Amino acid sequence: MIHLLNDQQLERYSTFKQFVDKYVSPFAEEWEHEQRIPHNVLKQCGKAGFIGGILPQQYGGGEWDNITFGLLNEAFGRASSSLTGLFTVQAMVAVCILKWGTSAQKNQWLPRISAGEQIASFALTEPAGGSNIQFIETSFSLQDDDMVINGQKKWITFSEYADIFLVFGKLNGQLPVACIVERNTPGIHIEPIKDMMGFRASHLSEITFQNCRVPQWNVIGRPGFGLSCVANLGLHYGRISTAWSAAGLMRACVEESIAYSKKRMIGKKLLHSLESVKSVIADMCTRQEAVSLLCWQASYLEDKHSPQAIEKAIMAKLMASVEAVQASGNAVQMQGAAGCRENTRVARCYRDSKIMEIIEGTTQVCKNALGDTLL
Amino acid sequence: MEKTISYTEVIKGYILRCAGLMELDENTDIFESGIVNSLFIIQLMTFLERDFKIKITMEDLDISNFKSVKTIASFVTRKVSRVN
Ligand SMILES: Cc1cc2nc3c(=O)[nH]c(=O)nc-3n(C[C@H](O)[C@H](O)[C@H](O)COP(=O)(O)OP(=O)(O)OC[C@H]3O[C@@H](n4cnc5c(N)ncnc54)[C@H](O)[C@@H]3O)c2cc1C
Repeated sequence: MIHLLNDQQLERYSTFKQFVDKYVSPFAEEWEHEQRIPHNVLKQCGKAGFIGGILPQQYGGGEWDNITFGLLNEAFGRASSSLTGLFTVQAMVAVCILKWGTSAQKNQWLPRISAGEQIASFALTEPAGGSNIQFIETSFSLQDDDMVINGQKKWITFSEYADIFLVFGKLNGQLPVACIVERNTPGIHIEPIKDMMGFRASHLSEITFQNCRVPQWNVIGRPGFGLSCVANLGLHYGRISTAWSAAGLMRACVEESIAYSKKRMIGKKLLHSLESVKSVIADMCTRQEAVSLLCWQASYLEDKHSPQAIEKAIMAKLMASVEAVQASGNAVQMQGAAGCRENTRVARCYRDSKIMEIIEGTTQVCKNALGDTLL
Repeated sequence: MEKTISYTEVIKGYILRCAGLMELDENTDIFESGIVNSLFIIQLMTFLERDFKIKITMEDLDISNFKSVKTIASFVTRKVSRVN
């Protein structure tokens, strides 16, 4: 995939990798163990321009193309899926505001998201289910000029920290609506969710909205389009981000496997001299490259503003997450018992990759959506 | 009028390709009839933005603009005339 990048993309990719080597890789294990990423790391990412990279300059963004955004996710995904989850959700919320917000809404929220001063969460999934978003039950009702929100959201990334939430529900039980809710709004209760198997430092929580009143001004897009246009756009970016992040995770698995096979003795031979090990590594590298190419294609089509980008992003996310599970399984297997220690990089990849098959549309849901699109 | 006709053809052609259909009445409600899935509306909007060089924003979010080939074509006609 590298040979498809232009000079600017290569330069930025190199900046991301340097940042990751210095500020992410040495700490990623500790963050997982403690189930938290220090707030200053998020701020540092904002300052470096990583959070608002894809936004226009007028909102403090870097005007990156989508391939560069993908490379950011790949570079960070190689070291920490949890931190990459931050970029995923910030982009999901930011693109929704950018595309469907009024200019006043864009000015209100985008510069702060971009600078890492405000952390945003994408609050779609509910305790009763996440796969079929048409069935969300969070209720919005209009009273005077306010939206009154009642309902519950669950498994919401970075919501433990978030300053604003893009909340999805139905106006009068019917019209899908998307609305920004600020954290300090009375009636919000946030309950952190701990001990996930992967993405352990992603600050998930369950959020309850009880007669939570926000100005109608905060509605993004128009009632009726909250799911079809707003949520679907956010999920599309989420899939691009997760696909690239999975490609980065696969790269970590390849690196770990090659390094381990070069130092582990099996009797009098190094592990990598075994034919079966060569075959596994060849397979892992090939699949990693194939996944990267699918990711590149999805981002390239997004840059060309092609309608096909939607289905290509689903394909990329579907294949990347499934292949990441396979690659991390191989990486654990190659290290034997050593790879089964909870605090090893390969064990973390193994746990995180499974989550990638669940977020932004499960493997089954992605296949259904593709089937509908292709047939 | 000529433009509206060619917009209609281009839009119809796109929907036919996406939905894998041979024929489509210009007045058929493409969402109600179930010939397209829920992801289609953002695909359609991207297509319209790219091919007709228009920008669809929050003010355009009115389902009557996107219901059928006919309403989409007249929406595009209005948008294009505002751009020019
Ligand atoms: C780490 C993590 C972070 C997350 N972050 C966020 C976030 O920031 N915001 C947010 O809104 N949500 C978030 N989620 C929730 C995530 O989006 C949902 O878990 C996901 O959409 C699946 O929903 P569910 O868990 O309710 O599973 P369910 O919908 O209950 O599905 C259960 C099983 O049934 C299968 N299934 C469901 N429908 C079909 C079907 N039609 N055909 C075939 N199989 C089907 C699924 O594939 C799955 O295997 C996060 C989840 C995790 C684990």
